[in-house]
Amino acid sequence: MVEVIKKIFFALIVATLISCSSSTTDDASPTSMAMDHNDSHDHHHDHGNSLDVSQLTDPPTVSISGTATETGEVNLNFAVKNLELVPISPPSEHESGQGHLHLYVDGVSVAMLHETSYVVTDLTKGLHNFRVAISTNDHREYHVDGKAISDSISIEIEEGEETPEVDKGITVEVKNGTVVDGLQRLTVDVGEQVSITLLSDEDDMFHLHVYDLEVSLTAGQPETLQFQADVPGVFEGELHEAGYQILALEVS
Amino acid sequence: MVLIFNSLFAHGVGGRSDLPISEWIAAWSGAMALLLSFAALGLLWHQPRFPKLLNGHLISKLVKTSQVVAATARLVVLVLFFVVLAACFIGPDNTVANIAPTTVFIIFWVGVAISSAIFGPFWKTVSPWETLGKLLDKSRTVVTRPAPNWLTSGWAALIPITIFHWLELAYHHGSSPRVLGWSILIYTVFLLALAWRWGWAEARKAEGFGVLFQLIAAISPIFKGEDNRLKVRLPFVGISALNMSGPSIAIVLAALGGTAFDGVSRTGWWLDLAVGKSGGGLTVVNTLGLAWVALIIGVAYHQASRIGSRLTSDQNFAQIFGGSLIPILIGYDVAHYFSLLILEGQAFKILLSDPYGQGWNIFGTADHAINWTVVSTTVIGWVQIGSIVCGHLLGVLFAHDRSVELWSKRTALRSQYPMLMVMVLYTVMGLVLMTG
Repeated sequence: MVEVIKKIFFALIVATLISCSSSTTDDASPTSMAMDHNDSHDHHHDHGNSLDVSQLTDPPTVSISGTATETGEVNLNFAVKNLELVPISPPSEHESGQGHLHLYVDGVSVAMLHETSYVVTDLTKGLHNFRVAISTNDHREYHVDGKAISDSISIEIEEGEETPEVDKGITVEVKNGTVVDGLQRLTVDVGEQVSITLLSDEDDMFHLHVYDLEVSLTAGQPETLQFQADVPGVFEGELHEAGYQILALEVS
Repeated sequence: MVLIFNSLFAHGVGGRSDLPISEWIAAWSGAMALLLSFAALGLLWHQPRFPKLLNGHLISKLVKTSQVVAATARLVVLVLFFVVLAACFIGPDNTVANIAPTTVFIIFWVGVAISSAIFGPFWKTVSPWETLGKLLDKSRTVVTRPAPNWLTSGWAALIPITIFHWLELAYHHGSSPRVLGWSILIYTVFLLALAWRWGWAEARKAEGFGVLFQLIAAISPIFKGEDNRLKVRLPFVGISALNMSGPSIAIVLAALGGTAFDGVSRTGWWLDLAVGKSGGGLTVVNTLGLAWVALIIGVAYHQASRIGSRLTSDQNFAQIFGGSLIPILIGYDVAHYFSLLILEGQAFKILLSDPYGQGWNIFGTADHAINWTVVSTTVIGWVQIGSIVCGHLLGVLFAHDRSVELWSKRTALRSQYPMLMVMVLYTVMGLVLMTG
């Protein structure tokens, strides 16, 4: 009997040791290298979420223009140079000179496009920001001199629904590789309007799970995400680049 | 409009946890479980009842068709196995968009475990490794060499279970489709190599998942009789026919430890401890946490068995009561993963229509969305409480039945104190983890 238990512990300890050693040598392990070989963009935080094309003589460019049309609608047009726009589905490997557009409305990722026009609907009354960036086939944004190749425009919507009043809000600040004041928690009721303001000292991408809201963050620039909390549960809000959770949203 | 999210998940798949259970409900449930357990100790029955109920009744009509059904199911699962394995490498390199993580962590690990508890030993019939191993055996004349002790003893089965938990709960890239692909491939080659050397009958003992699901299947009302015919009996009584060896106990304890750590890693306390950690640092913290929780679970059972052995002068105390751990494990599984199975599990039918992310729609389900409100949070909460408490009670009942079978009333009663202590510990732990 004692022998049996000794074996259990021995097995557990061995497992732990194996685990520890695998994790510390993670970047050099054969599996990890084999994976890099297969797919160079697997480790997002290792290779970054961007592709620098500063060395090109004619790097791609993009510009955005738009007009408010009907109630709560905006017609956007994009002018793209030095880039062939290709559909995102089926997913494909990076090909230089190819890519698609990422569109953000008020910092929130809303669409990936290979067309040069798009209609945003259901906008609320007030000023909205529309930002377009160009991305590789494998969803890395093209950069020149450390900055994303992008353009943005602000359009005032005069006729539209009033922005619903925020019931509960929180500000999450990320500084020096961790969350200021520890992991932030927000508890709300189902159906409430929630506002999450995010501020990071590095460029990153915030993702709220299940609600699947993504906010592109620029260092030092606060972005606010507003939505109705309609799914109950506890949800993780994480930073993609940094790779850790910064918010726990409890909806009950 | 298509959105693709490349996410880093902390717990295999899913960035959602269940709402914390209110502390007073948890406290009441715990108190009730305790009270009923003590009642079970002395007041219930003084004669063993489970062994008499073991025989069951034949499901006569199913027998004739069962061969055809089994062969079809075996083929379907084998095809699915290769489809998912291929998706690991050629599908989108993304936890949510690829079918593999959902299939492995939800459909296979949680789905098959819970289904085994309900439908019995079906996994042994359909498992792709069983099929491949048997095919390998058939393809040549098996050389009968004596297999080494590490294989025949059953300890080898602990390796895949341990590595699986580490990938799921500790390694920060464990839910990456590519990592899963390599793991499945290496494991399959490993099993087939063992089968090549010593035959599948021996190699099977290293297939930890099969061993675990087979143990869990013992609590099902459906079982295979001596003549390989399907029979029914009362649920749970089958545990008394189980022979819980040392490795079997270790595997069940490891699965229990893994599930408990999954719970720990969702508590506010753990989130505060791990905040800001990513990559290799996160892996180290999670690995230590996983080992630590698994040790607590293991030490508790070890200590209880030692005390029990002394009280009853029976060296096999741990093996005799090992079966009690199975309903407790299923209770933990349901409590932690019931919502994952019915909510995140819906992704399986969506992804199955387009397993390689090519824009296909084979079954017409590719554009479905997950219905996150298919069960209310109230129902989830009660299922969680109910499964932990029921798992505990069934464990206690089984242990009680076993003890009156083996010993005099006095010794039987005494033998139950250490078992009760360890089961109360697991139950309190399970309930506390659900309060957030």
